[in-house]
Amino acid sequence: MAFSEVFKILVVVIFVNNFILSRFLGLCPFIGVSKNMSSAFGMGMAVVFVMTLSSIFTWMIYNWILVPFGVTFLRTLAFILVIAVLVQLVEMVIRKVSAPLYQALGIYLPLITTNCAVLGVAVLNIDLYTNVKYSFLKSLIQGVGAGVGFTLALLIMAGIRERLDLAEVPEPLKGVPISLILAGLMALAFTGFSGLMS
Amino acid sequence: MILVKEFTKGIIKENPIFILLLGLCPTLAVTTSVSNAIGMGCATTFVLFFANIIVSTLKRIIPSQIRIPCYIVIIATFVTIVELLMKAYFSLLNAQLGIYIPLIVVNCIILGRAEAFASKKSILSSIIDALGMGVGFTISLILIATFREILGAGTIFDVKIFNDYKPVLVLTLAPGAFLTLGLLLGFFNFIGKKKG
Amino acid sequence: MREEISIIKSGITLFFITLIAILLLVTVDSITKPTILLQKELEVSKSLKTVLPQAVKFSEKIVGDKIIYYKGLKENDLLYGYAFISSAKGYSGNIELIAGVDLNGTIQGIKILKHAETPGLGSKINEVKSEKTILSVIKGEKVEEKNIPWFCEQFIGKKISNLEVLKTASENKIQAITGATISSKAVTKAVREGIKKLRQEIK
Repeated sequence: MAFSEVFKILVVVIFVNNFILSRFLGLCPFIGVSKNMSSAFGMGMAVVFVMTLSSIFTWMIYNWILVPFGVTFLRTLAFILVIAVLVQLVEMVIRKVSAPLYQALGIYLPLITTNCAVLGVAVLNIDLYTNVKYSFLKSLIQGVGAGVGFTLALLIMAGIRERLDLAEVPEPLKGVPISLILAGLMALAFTGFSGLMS
Repeated sequence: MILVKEFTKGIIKENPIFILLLGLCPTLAVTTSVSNAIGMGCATTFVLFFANIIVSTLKRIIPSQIRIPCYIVIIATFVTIVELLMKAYFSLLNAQLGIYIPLIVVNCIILGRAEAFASKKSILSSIIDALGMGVGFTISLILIATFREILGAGTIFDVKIFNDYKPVLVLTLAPGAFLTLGLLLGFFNFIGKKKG
Repeated sequence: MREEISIIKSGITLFFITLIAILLLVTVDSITKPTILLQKELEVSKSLKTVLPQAVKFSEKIVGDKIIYYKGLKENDLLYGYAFISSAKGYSGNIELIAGVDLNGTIQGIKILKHAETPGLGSKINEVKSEKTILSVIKGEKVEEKNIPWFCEQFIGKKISNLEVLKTASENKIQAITGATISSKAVTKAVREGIKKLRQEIK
């Protein structure tokens, strides 16, 4: 598969169809964890890791088990269980490797299980890349790319919010509302990427 | 009378979208049109209803340490049932809502209610809670969708309102979704503060 | 020892809950399967009827080397035309459509099957211009309702030589959607390439 094909998939999933700013997937951590850059980065990396692994395993389970047995309707159940198990593993790894990161992420780590973006990328891989050449590779690349795009949006948001702490925000808009409005402006900026692929 | 309170809290005091800030992903995605909003609201309420019943019924059997995976299995089952029913009987709506239907399984509202309420309260209370939250969610979705569809597309239920209205297209797109929700939340905060 | 027993108990409970869940789903799936299949077939025949309105019968799907197509027949089983499935890269992903041509190569209709174009711009390739307004619905007026997207309608009656996209209104070429040239070109390309491939296939 040509490098240009890989590049195209990455650009589309990171910029043109950014998971948070264009598909609205992964909003809870987006609003909850993006308060400062370091925890945003840690969360982003955890999500990239989970998304990559889940793209691999969900692809295998779908194409090697669900399809041959004609039980594709079990997809939702199977995928969410795979993700739940992966998140447990990631939690254990982070706890051992970096205690401060574990503390910083707090409850948001197990919440990666219910992160729409993780299940979303698994479902999207199936929708876009079934019965296509190089389907596994494309799914894997999309999985990694989705995580990177998620991290990117998270980092930009964190950077803005760090500065926002010093600004005068009207009382009713403080907290979530202003974050959403900011996200809207970011999404507007990202819409500029729409024409990139033709 | 207490039961009535359980029902209405889901609509105002503990509104899942505007107060609890749960279920935001599908909210922004499906509120492009009122018909989509109603469809998603009903599908979510269906899952919430049955999930709450089952979780409440099995609350003594489910061991605490694996309760989350059990809830997930239960919720995923009903989401799959909704998926199949929609493919069979509501295929147009199914095509409109797309990947957001299987994503009902990670709608924090459902897991949240199972964990915070159904696992502790009686079956009847859980039913009322589910209905209240579901109705509250649906009404909120309709509210946002009405705003976005009328101003952003100039239609309601796909029927044009005025012949010459040039719609504010961005409202039906992602940026508009964020802005609308942010402003509405700010508005409700403002009203909340005024009430005391 | 107690910890191990409780882990085993947890595992068994989870296993049984999952088992019951799967059994329930298998049941629901078998109940809904026939309806779902029926829906798909209905959609296919509806599409075929839209793009080859003059045909009364259709053949099974024929998967050729170059293209997938159906034969459209008249009452006396005489071949009337063909309906083929074609796709081209649009603004965001592939646009898939079905198109019908008679034996002279004149397009009888096209229908967009799948697309992910920008809402409000490229999505207009599938937009039906409705004259209904709230006022007319309330008044109960009868309004002429078209159910073919206006962009697709202009393909009817044209041949492959007409399939060129222009930005201005044109009687015998294809007019692009304002602000959605790429989507318009993609649809046109899909029809054009489809006719070419069909010609090669049925030779």
